[in-house]
This record gives sequence, structure tokens and C-alpha cells, in this order.
Amino acid sequence: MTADSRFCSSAASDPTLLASAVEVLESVEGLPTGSTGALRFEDEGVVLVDGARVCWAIARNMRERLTDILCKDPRRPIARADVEHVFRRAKESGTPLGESLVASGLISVAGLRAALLQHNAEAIACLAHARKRPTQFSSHAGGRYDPRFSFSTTELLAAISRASNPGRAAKAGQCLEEVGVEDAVGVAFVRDVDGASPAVIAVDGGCPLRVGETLEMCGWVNGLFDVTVLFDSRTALISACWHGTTGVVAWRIGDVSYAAICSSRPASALLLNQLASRLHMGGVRYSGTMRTRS
Amino acid sequence: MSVSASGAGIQYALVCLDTGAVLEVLDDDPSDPRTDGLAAASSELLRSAPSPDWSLLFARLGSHEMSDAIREVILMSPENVYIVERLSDRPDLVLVAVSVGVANLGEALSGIRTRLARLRAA
Repeated sequence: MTADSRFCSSAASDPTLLASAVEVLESVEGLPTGSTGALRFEDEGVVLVDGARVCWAIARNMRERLTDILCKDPRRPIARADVEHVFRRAKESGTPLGESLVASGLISVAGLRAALLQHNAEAIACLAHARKRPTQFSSHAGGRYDPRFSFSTTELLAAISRASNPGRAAKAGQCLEEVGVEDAVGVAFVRDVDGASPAVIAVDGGCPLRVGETLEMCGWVNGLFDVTVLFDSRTALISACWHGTTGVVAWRIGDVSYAAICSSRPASALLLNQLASRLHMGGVRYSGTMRTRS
Repeated sequence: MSVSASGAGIQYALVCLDTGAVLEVLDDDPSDPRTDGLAAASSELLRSAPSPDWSLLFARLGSHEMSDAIREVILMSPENVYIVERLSDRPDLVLVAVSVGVANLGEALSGIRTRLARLRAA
């Protein structure tokens, strides 16, 4: 998807707006466990939530909505009339929109998911720009949303941040897919425009981490890499193990850093070995400028 | 310094976490500058607090980590391997391994386990 995402772009390049987007996402995370319903932000917009995952978000001043995104997809553009026809049919029959679009053959599940992610990220960025706080939550007791088309808050944060450098984010996402191991969840991040805080640009699908703790973990990894200047500034791979079975494996390629939280020892060992092999083949390498923490 | 058949050497040293000083190089060699650097960085590398809340974070992946202390850190550059290992019975000390020249990760891990066992037995 390369459609213009005005609010995501400005949020990705402005740490204050990005912090405001984090606040919007944290308001979703702050709902009682298992909540399903609509979180309203005054008259500015609404976020539909199912179990701390975002199913749909809409904001008043959005320039780019789902239909625009679907019609502008350079890989497989869809005629506006076709999309609108499916929308009308879905409304008449009461069928969920996502299900109808996929059933129509106009788009694949993966394609629709990517478009929805972009739409929702744009809506969250737009709410962040308006700096509105949530004012009301209306619980939807009846049904739940299709889990295929809902997004974790960290996925949305990455979708907003990646607008500043979509090419780098796409490569980072590919890297996470390539090294994916069972019992591990990975995130990719860069230093933000000020060079101080981490900006998450890609996450493993379904990443269950919360945005605050993800950013804290990325900051901790940045600190580990920073301190390696004392003995070897070319350090590109770090594994930290706790006393139990858990661990974090972090690596960096160019100016993109990665961290994978492993919930089992085999996952940590497998990932470390896989990345160590790549390191010796030149696949994991740090070539950026070392920064020191103030 | 332990020198393997491949010619790569690994230096093992006991380090004081509080001061970051090398207390003893286990094979009686002079301390390598990178061993001194790793020693100085050890407390920072093993620091897990104050954030994030690791037990909460691991719990989201279905794991119940009872300890908030990092036990071991392994670091690798294209040429070198570094290990920092906490001594379970001496919280103020760590054992570090620093490869000099390209060393195998398994060799460094095996070496540090052997020396940990010797330290415990001593």
C-alpha cells in the first residue's frame, strides 16, 4: 500500500504527535479486560475495540478512508463502483463488510487486512492530531468482531511509525518473518527523529505486547547496544537470559534494531544460533553511528 | 589465555559488579583491554530494572518468569564473542568470557560453564 497517509506521515515525523498516538492506543489498552464496544473521542471519532484489539477506527478529518485505500492499491486497484456495490450489498444483508469483500473475490484476506491496518492507523493518527481524550465507552454485549481483521495496539503503532520510511519498514517486516521462531515475538525499531527514543516500525503479526512496554523494551535494547562501545562497537547480536526459561534476543542490521522476546529456552537458543550464523555470513551487521546516552 | 586448535583464544575473568573491575584473569594472562571494557559494562548489561516490567511482559507470551534478574548475556560482533554470567552464589561477582580472534559461540559457552563449575567447587 503506498496511498498517501497524511496523518500517519506527520505523526511518524513528529515525536509529540507520536506520543499523542501512543496515548490514544493506551486508552484502548486501558479498557477492562475483554471489553467489546465503541470508544468515543468527543465528536472527533470512534474506535471499535474487541479484547484490547482495534477492529475499526474512524476520525472526522481523515482524508484517506478504506475505499480510497482499496481503490489506490498499486498492486491490485479495485474499481470504486465495485467496492461501493459490495458495501451496499453487505449493508442490506447484514453481512460483515470484510467477509463480503473477501467473498466477492475483489480482495484477498491478506490484502484486506493490510488495507484495514492502514485505514485504522490513519484514523488513530488523525485522533492523535486532534489531541482528543476518550469520553465514552459503549459496550457491545452482542457479537464479537472477526479476529482476522482486528489489530493489536503495537501493530497499529508500527503502522503509524512506518510512514516515515516505508521501504525500511518493509525490509524490517521481511526480516522478522525470515527469522520467525515458535515461542518468540519480534519487533523492529529505529531511533526516532530526535535520535533518542525508539520508533517501532514493524512487529510480528498478532504481537500481544502493549505499546508502552514495547517502547520501554526497545529503549532497553538501545541502551545495551550503546554500552557495547566500551568493548566492541561492532556488536550486532545480543542474547539476555533470565533465571527461568525466558530471554530476549536483539540484533541490528544497518540502522534498524530488532528484539525478540522468547518464552522458552529452545526459542532463545534457536534464534541465537540462526542469527549467529547470519552474523558470520555478514547478514547481521551494524554499520550505523554509535550514540551515547545522555 | 585458552587457545583452541583453531587459533582463537578466549579469556575468562572474574569481575566485581559494583566497581566494574577485573578481579582475576583465570588463566593468569594479562587482562585484554576488551576484557576491561566488558568488565566496566557488566553491571549495565545485567541491569533489567526499572522498566519494562519483564514478568508482565513475559506473561503476555504465556511464560511465568519468577525472577527479574538477568542471568547471562551473550554478545557477538562479526569477529568476537562476549559472555557475562552471573554467579548464583556470589551476587557481587560475574564471570566474563572474551574471545580474542574469531571464536565459536559453543566453545565460549562450554568454556564458561566449565569455569563456573570449577569456581563453585573451589
